[in-house]
Amino acid sequence: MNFYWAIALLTTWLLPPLLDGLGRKIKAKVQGRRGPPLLQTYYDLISLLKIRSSLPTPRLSFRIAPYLAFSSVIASSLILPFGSFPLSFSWDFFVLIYVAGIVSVALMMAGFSIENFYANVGANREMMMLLTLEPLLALSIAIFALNSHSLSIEGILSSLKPLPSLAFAYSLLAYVSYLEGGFLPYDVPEAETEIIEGALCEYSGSLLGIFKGAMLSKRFLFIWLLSTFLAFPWIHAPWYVLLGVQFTLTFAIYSLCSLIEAMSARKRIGEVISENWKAFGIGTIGLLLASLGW
Amino acid sequence: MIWLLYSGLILLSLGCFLPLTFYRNYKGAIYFSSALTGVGSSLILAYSIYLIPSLLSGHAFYFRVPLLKFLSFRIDSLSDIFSILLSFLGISVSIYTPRYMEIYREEGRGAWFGILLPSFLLSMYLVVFSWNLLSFVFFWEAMTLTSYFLILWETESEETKKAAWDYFVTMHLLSSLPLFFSLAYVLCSGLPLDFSRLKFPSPLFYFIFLVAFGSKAGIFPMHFWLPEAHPAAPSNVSALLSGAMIKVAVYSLLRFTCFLMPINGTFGVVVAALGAITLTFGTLYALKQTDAKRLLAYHSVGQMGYIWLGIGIGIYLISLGGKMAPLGIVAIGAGLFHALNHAAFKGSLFLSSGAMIYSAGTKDLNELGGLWRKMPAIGVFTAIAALSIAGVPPLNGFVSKWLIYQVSFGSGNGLFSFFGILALFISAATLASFLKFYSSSFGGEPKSKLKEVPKTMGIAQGILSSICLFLGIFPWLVLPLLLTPGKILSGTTPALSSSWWLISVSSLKGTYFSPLLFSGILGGIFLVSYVVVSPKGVKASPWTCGEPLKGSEYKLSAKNYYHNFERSFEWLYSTGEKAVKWSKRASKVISIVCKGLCSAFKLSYRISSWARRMGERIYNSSFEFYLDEAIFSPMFGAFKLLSKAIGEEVKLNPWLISAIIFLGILVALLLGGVIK
Repeated sequence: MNFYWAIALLTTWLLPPLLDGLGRKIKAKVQGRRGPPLLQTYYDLISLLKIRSSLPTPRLSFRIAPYLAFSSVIASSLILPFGSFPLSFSWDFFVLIYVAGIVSVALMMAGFSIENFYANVGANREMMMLLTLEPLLALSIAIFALNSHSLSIEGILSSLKPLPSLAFAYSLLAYVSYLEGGFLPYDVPEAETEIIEGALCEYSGSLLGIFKGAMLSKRFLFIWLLSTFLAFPWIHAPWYVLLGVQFTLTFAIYSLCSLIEAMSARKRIGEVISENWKAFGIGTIGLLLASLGW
Repeated sequence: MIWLLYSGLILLSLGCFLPLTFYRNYKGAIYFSSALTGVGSSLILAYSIYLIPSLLSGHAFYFRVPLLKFLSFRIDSLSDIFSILLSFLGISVSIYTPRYMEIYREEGRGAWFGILLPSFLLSMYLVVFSWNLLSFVFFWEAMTLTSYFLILWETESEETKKAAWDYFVTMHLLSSLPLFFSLAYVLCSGLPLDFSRLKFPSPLFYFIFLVAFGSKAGIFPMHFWLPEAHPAAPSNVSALLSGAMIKVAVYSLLRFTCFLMPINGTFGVVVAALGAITLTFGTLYALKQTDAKRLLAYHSVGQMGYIWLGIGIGIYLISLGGKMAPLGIVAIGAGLFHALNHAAFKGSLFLSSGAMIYSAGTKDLNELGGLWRKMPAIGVFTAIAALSIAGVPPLNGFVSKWLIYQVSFGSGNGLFSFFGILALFISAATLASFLKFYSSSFGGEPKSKLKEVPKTMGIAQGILSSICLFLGIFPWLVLPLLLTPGKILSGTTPALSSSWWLISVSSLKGTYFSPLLFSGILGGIFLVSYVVVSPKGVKASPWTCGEPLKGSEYKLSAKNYYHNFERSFEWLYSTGEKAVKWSKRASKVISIVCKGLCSAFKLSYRISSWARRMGERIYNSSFEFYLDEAIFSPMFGAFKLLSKAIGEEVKLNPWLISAIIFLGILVALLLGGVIK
């Protein structure tokens, strides 16, 4: 009986606000504040969902974008293992990228559809982030694929060989996960204090609540991906142990991310782009090593 | 059932002259010819679909025209794929044409358009059906000529004239001449013309066919004509050019280099590399465009790169044989699938650009806006096509791109993996470009008065967009047919199995994707959340920081999108400019050399100053300078110089151009004979 899909869906839906609460607590402690209660993000989301939203445009895309983002991020959790692989439409790495990418597509569709400069700029920045992150993710997949001769996440996890080029793949994956999560030095597209949350600028009430939930789930998903890649190839244990390790790693990585976030100030989009190209340059060395069989 | 095919072809052939009877009736001619084209293509579509089961088992169907021996034809799985592609485009274009052509009423000449449209489509059908080198070359040339006249439709506009002229010259120099050369070679060396027995003997022909079909397909660096010529034509013709004609080149490349010559691994790598370069450069240039049709045309170049990448990897893997050959079949199938998909979404997008012109009278994305108010349905169709070309699941573009990633990353080859990385990156760039395309034309509020768009135009586009959605969710319907050519080539079974709910690639460790299940899950979560949390809200107007601003003043315009990102590719965009400077110097050198050589003649001064002017004109005429223009402008300079030397009036004198081309063909024939 495969019940992992239920764990996947429920975790991706319900856990992220808790992680966010944890992150807020950590940031508060670092900055010498008391911080909100651990469950504060749940309260925020629930109260948002109760409020009617205001619609600055009658366009359909504005109204369906939050739901599209939410459903795609929840659906993409089925591609990842939660203790073991869930019953799913795919276990393929590329499907994961594209399905998780729908979140960004929805965000940009929403941002570009409104006549609001902040929203447009936010969507614009989101696209530029995506443009420079995609090659990095592709590089890391290419190294994993050359190492394990597989493109399905299940195949990769079950047959990774410890070679030097893997260091590049892991660092790229970690870097991408941090950036995709939109943690602080890199939250350029949603920059709250600068462009008033960018594409989300015109959203309010229940629509905003759904969008926020989807963004938090996406952040969780990439950290879960990273912890899966850290745990699965090297630990052989029953599913509940693996699941426990995944949860522990996720909490640990999330706390680490929040710690970094608490200590950094936002970068400009130009800086992020050039940084990403540098990372791409370094990553190609990894690809070269991997294609030589190292 | 054969009558379906025959009557379809006969209807199209009737379309090649019957519309002339409506010489004085613009509307009548267009309606009549569209009806013939539409019914003809639907009959051929019906037959092509009817043939599929027998083609899957490797059968082929022959037919010939009585009395004319060289007109022999055959339909096998490869031709059938392209016949289906041509048919659905033909049907939707013929639904679209009658109302759309109203905007060209002033031009008149309805009867001529009436005969050109079916002739163009018929010539493409017969190119993919031809089973004889002579008829192939004949219909190839017919295709080039009819498309030339269709591109030249707005004869008054200088831009169109230049574009059509570039197209005409490039096609004849780079595409027809190599073909004539090979025809002469075959004739002189006594090889059979019939494709069942014809085998090109020398590896030189790989290069010849690469140039001949690469230039037609718009492969870098021979793509420079495409972003000029495709936008110049009326949008319904652009849809056929971008959707169908450049695919015919893909067909021909496969037919000639894989079926009429032994499969060659190095050639495969070259094709894949050209594909990767083309997709990168084509799309990066597309990202900068703000003219709707130019943007689409550059994307045709880019997407053609994907097709070549798939096919090239396929040729390489099949040539390796053994364990890799099954994956090679998938690669060729992936390339063909992308060709089919591209026909659907690019056709739809070009039709939407036609709707923009019809409604707002412009195709400049900076000036467009708010089109959804007048045409919500077309907006939805355009969004589907745009998301499809960007590869958003579960649309068809995603499935073919996914298969291309499977073969490039799964080949275990570092170089192909790198090509795959480029492809994935460019997929994001395509998304960026089409978000711009869609949001700046349909998003926001109208900037000028918009005209109502006729329903038939929407229906035509709807057909193509629903194909995008349909093939994305049910790829198993076409995948077996798409894999058959590769199966015939390699003689093994493909590393892909598809059933109604699942595609699994069994190469290496195996991976799978179920489009149907995915759509179900995505749609399910979407619906549940939509019902549980209502999207209802209060109407409000966008927040403008309290300043009373008009909406259009408060929206990013197309030219400002992705500025920071484009800056990191400034080297690429400016290389073109630098190179054009160099080529200007090169033209000057040519002119100096000519001056020296011709000093004895009275003409010398005029020729050289003319050549210098040419260089300056190329330098001054365009708004942006591209690398490709730099590479070829000296060649054009030389060619134009030659024509100048022969006659006084070069500028678009069709007789003179035909004479020069004819001369060129004679030279090619002679060369072919001599080399033999």
